[in-house]
Amino acid sequence: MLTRPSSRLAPHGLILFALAMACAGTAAAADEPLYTVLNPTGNPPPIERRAMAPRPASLSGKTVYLVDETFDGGDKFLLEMQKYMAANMPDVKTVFRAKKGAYAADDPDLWKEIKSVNGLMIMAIGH
Amino acid sequence: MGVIIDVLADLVRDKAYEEGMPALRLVFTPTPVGGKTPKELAAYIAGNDPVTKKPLMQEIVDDLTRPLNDEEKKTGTVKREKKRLIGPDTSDNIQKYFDDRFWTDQLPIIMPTQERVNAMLKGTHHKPDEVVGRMRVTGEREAWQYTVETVAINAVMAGAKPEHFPAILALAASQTNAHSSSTSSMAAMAVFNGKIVNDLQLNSSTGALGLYNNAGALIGRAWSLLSMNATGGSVPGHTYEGVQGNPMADVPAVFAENVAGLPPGWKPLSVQKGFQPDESVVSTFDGCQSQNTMMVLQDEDWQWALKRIIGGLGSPQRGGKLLLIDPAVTPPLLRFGFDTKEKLINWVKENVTMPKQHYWLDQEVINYKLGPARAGQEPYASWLKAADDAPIPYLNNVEVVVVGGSGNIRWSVNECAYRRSVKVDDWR
Repeated sequence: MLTRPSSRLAPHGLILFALAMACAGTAAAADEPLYTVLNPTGNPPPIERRAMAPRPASLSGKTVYLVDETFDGGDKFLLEMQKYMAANMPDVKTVFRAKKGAYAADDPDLWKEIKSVNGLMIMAIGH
Repeated sequence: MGVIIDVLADLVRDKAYEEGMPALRLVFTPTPVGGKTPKELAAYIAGNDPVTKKPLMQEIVDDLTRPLNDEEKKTGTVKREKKRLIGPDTSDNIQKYFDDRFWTDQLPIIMPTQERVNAMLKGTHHKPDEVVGRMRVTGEREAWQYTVETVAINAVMAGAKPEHFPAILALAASQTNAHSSSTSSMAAMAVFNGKIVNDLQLNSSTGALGLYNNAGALIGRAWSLLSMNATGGSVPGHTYEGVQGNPMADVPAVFAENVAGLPPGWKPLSVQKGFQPDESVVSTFDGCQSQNTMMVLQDEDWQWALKRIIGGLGSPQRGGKLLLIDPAVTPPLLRFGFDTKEKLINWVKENVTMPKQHYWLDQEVINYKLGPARAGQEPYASWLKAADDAPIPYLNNVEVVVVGGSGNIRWSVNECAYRRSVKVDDWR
């Protein structure tokens, strides 16, 4: 089963174990009223799993798009990365692009362009 | 693959999980990237990922070339179930269980037993399993759904009574999250108009926004808890990112408009939004950042003073302002020619401006408006082409509400944006 990477939803077994331990460890609990309560959280939507893009064996001869999503300093960071790659990975072609629209907006034209050259993408999110 | 600052590691992994790629390959830089010099950024790139401690560029190359494993190739639908009942246990242990999961505001709650929730549900004719709405912690995150029963559970936890429940359901139906996860630490407000104000004794006078508004505080806390829990809990680093937090966030200000204090020509907020004067309505505001009070304006320089105080608050990226006007302050506003709220609102929208060159140097404007401007979205595209000293009228969401007990000639400007209005009677 897919599990959330955070601790927001702990596995049920652990919950019951924790509650059992809490009860066992509190002598005063025997004299206190016990409550069964309702879970106050909403209902999450189902998750549609998506396969990641296949990887090439090497970056040699490939085109890597460095895509800025326009938040603080992402562009400056990627331009420095472009310099680093030019100096240290000369057989890799890099293309810097700022994604079109607001930071969360889709940019299908850019994705199409990257696919058309069988390229790869590094997206940097500034902040 | 993505490169992200390390403080957002939990959040971005959550987002990847929600988008169906829990193993999305990510590399992290130190925080922040914004404001750093090229030399400092070059050092980030030549250095290590602060999360994995591995060389950053080597990680990037590995992530772009390592073959996918079986987990990374998975497709299909995953349903997420939740445990309906918790306990039996003592109230202290259940309180801790809820606190640990950020299902509370870290203050004592009323235990939401089935019996108490059933009593709350008697405050409405709607069925417990009816879906009331959906909420997100920010516009980009997944929407969680909540029912009448979910709202009732949170209302019980807040200490609300069944007579408050239709008002709380109306707030829930507004789908306004009182706890946006923005790093800018937002809060929310709600304003009631109509018969319900008297029914619930909602305060519109001295202390209306707090401290002295029992019904407002109970309804506000229920809205606050629902906003946390409708989206699975408000967890710092995951579903709450407010850098400094907000003193208005614990209990959102929920109050009534002082309709008796409206001068002739000024309509109640609910009527401005298309409802009848006697209809019970709640109007929500979010993105609230601050409340700043002023005394009465002077005839000699009211225009300068209005522009200074309203224009002096917050980033121009945020187009919202809520002017809370005490009845004692309305006579001079009428004298200045504002014989309707709309005239005051339009004056503010037209006259509170910022020179173009400063507007486009504001970091929030760069983050949120530069992309749309470059993509041709108006009015930002035209503002980007304007002359450097051209005035940018950036406020697009200005509202005026009359509230206060006239103990002095005071009014306030609030960094808040109007969201929507909902009829309370639809939820009785």
